[in-house]
Amino acid sequence: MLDQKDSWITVIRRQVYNMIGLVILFIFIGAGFFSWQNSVLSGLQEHANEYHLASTTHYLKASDELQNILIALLSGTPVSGSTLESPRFNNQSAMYIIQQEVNAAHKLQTTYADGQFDALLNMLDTSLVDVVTFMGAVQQSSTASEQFKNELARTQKSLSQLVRLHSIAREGMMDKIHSHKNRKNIILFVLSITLLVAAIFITRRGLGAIQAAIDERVAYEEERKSIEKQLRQSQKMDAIGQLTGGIAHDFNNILGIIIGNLDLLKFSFSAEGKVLQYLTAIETAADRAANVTKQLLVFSRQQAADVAAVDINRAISSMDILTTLTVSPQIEVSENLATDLWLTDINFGDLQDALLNLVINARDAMSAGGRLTIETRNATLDSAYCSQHPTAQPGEYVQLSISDTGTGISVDLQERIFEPFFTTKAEGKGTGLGLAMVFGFIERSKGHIKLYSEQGIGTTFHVYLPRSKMKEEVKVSSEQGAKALPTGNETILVVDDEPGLVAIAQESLQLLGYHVLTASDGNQAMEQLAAEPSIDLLFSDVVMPGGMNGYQLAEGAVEAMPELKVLLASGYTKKAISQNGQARFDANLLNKPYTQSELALQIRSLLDQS
Amino acid sequence: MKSIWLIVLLVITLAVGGAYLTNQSMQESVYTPLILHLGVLPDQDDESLRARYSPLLDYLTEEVGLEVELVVASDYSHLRHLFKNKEVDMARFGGLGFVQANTFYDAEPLVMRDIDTRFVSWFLVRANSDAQNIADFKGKTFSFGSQLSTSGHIMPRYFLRTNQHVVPEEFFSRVDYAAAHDKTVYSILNNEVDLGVVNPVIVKAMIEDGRLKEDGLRLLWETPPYPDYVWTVHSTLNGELKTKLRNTFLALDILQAKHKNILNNLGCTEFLPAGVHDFKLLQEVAASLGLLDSSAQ
Repeated sequence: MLDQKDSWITVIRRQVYNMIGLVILFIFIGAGFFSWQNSVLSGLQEHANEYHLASTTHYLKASDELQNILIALLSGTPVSGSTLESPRFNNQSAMYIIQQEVNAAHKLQTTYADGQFDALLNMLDTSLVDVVTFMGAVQQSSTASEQFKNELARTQKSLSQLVRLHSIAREGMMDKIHSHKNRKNIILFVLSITLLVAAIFITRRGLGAIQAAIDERVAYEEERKSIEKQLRQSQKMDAIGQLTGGIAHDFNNILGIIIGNLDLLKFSFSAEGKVLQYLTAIETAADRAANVTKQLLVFSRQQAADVAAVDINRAISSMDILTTLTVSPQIEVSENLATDLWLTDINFGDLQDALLNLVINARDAMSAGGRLTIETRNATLDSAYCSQHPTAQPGEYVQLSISDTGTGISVDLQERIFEPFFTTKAEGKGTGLGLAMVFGFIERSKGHIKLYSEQGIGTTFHVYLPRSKMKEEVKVSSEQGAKALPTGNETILVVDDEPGLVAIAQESLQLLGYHVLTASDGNQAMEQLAAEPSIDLLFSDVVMPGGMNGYQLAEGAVEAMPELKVLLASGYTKKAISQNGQARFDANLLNKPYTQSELALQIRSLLDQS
Repeated sequence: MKSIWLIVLLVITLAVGGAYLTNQSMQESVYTPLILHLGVLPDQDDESLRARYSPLLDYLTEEVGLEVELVVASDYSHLRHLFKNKEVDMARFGGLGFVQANTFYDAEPLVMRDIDTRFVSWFLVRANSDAQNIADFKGKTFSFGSQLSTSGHIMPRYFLRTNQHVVPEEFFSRVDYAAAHDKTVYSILNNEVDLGVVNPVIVKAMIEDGRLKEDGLRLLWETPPYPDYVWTVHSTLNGELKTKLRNTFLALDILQAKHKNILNNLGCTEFLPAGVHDFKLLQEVAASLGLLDSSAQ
C-alpha cells in the first residue's frame, strides 16, 4: 500500500519546493508593491520639486530683479540708457532676466497642468507685456511715468503671490508625500506580518508533512523488517522441510529393505525361541524408526493424501476420550465450539494428530495445572492481516484455537518451535517432532498458524484451515477382515533405483503368484515395456536418477500402453511433486515404507479396476 | 494546498486593496454651494460690520458669479460651530480658530491680508508708567485678552515664554482674561491691571473713533510677527470654486479705483495666498496648551 503512494523523498521535495516557491512569490508581491509605491512617491516628489523650483528659483529671482528695477527708479537712476550712463544697473538686462525666469517657471507648469495657477500666470504675463511697453515709452521720455510704476508694482505683486502659492503647493505636496509614506509603512508592516504568519504557517505545514513522511517511512521500515523476519522464518521452515524430506526419503528406502527382509524372513520359516525374540526386537525397532520417518514425512510433505471435507467439531468430539486421557486431572478442559462451523478440506487423521500434539504441548506447559480451552469459529482473514503475515492468504477459514494457562513461550523460542527435533522438554519426554508435524499439516492444508504467547500467562495456537466448498462425506472405514493376502498371476514391472527394494518387491510379489519383471531406472523400464506388451501393471518409485522420475515414466508408459495400470511408491519429496503436474497418478500412490500387505492389497485393487 | 492559495490571495488582496485605499483615501464628496455664505467674527457692531463688508460681497458676487451672504457669528466658538455645520462655506477665522477648524473640521486656508502675514501683539502700559521692559512687571498685575484669542492670548503667551522667559502665572501677581481687546485697554486705563496685551488693529480703531486718546497708553513691547486671521474654506468645497475664490481675492489691486474701497474697508493693501504651514507654529503652541484635544472641539 505504501508503494502506491508517492515516496517520502517526493513528499519532502514537494514540500520544500512549495515553501521555496511561496517565499519567492511573497518576495515578488512585496517587491512589486514596494516599487509601485515608490514610483507613486517619486512622482509626488518630482511634482513637489517643480513647485519648489518655480517658487524659490524662478519667481523669486524674477521678483528680485523687479525689486532692483523699482529701487533704481525710486533712487532716480535713469531707467533708460546704456551701461556707460548707468554702470550700476541695466534695466534692459534686468527685464531680460525677469522674462527668462518667468518663461522657465512657465515651462515647469506644463509638466503638471493642474490649472490652479492659470489665471495668475495670465495676469503676470499681461503685466509683463505692459511693463515692456512702458519701458519702451520711458526710454523716449527718460522719466518713469506713474502708470509704469504701478505696472511694476502689479507685476511685483503677481510674482510674490506666485512665489507664495508655489511654496504653499509644495508644502501641500510634501504633506501628501509624508502621509503617503506613513500609509506605505503601515501597509508594508501589515503585509510583512501577514507574509510572516503565512510563511510560518506554510513552513509548519511543510515540516509537518515532512515529519509525517518520515514517520511513515520509519513505520514502513519497521513493518518491512517484521515481514522480512516472518518471511525468513517461513523460508527456513521450507529449507528444513526439504532437508527433512530428503533424509526421510533415504531412510524410508533403507527401512523398506529392513522391514521387507523381515517380512520375507517371517515367510521363510517359523522362528522360535531366541531367534524369534531377536526378530521381534528388530521389528519393533524398525517400526519405531518407520514411525519417526513417517512423522518427518508428515512434517515435510507438501500435499495431503486422502483430503476430505471435514467438520472439525466432529474431529474434536471424536477425540474427547483421547483428550481426557492425555490431560492430567489438575487440568480443566473446556470446549467452546461454534455451531454452523464451516467444513475444511483436510486429512482427518492429520488433524487428529495435530490436535493431539497441540493438546500434549498445552498439557506439558501446565505441569502445575491450569485450564485448557479448545475453541472453534468461522474466521475471515483480510488483506490487512495477510500483509502483516506473508504466509497467510486472504479468505474464509475455520479457526481452531488451543489455549493454555501455562508457562508461555519466550520470543526467542517462538521462532524455532516448529523446527523438527527442536524441543524444550526433558530428554526422552518429547521427540521434537510434534509441532513440526502440526506445521507440516497446516502447510499441506494451505492453512495458517498463529501463535500468541506470554510468559507466565499462557499460550494460544490459532490454526486457520481453509473453508471447504464441498459437503462432508463420512468415510466408512473398511475393516480389513481378511487376513490372507490377495494373490494374482498378472505380469508386473517393478522399477526402483534401490536394488534392495527391487529385490524385496520382486520376492514378495512372486510369492503372491505374480510374474515379476524389474528395471533400475525409467529408460530401462521403457525398454522392458516395449519388449513385453503383456505387462499389466507398472510399480515404480517416484524419485529415481537417470533424468526420468516415476511420474514421467508412468506418463510415457500409459501413452504407449493405455491399458497399463500404474502404482507409484514414494516417500515424500517436495521437488519431485512440484516439478510435474500429473496429479492423475496421485491417487495411485503407495507411501514408503510400505508393508507387504499394503503392497498386495493396493496391487490387487488396481488390477481389479476395469 | 487549497489553504495556501487562500493565504496568497489574501495577501495580494491586502496589498492591492491597501495601496488603492492609500491613493483614494480622504477623497470625500465634493460640494458646490448655491449661495456662498461668508462667516465673520463680531469685530464691530453688526451694522458697521455689514457696511464694511458690503463692497467685498458685491465684488465677489460679480466676479465669482454666485450669490454671497454675510453671516456674523456671535463669538469665536459660534463661528466654529457654523463652519462645522456648513452653515458658512467660507469663514474668516482668527489664527486659533483656523487651527482648530483645520484639526477638527478639515478646514483649508485660502487667502489672508498682507498685514495678517505679519501680525503682532502689543504689550501696553499706562502712558505715565516708567517701566522700560516686561521684567519690570514682576509681581505686578497683568491681563490677556480673550482666552481663545490668538493675538490677545495664544501668541503673546508663547512669545512671553520664548523671548522674555516669563511664565505669566508665576511671574505676575495676577493674570486676568478680558472678554475683548477693548476691555483690556480699559482695564489698563482704569488701573485695574498694570500691563495688558492687545490686538494693535483694535487699538488703532479705538484711537480713530475717539474711544482712546493717542497719548493714553504707551507701547512697551511689540511681539515678533506671526500670521493671524485667514479666510478659510471647507476642503470639500468644489476645487474650481476654491481656485476662483482665491484668484478673485488675489486680483484685488489697491491701484484700481474700484478695488481700493474694498481693501481700505478691510484694512489692507492686498491679499496673499495662505497655506497650512503659515500656522505651523500656532498649531504647535495651541496643541501644547491643550486647545487641539478632542475635548476642545
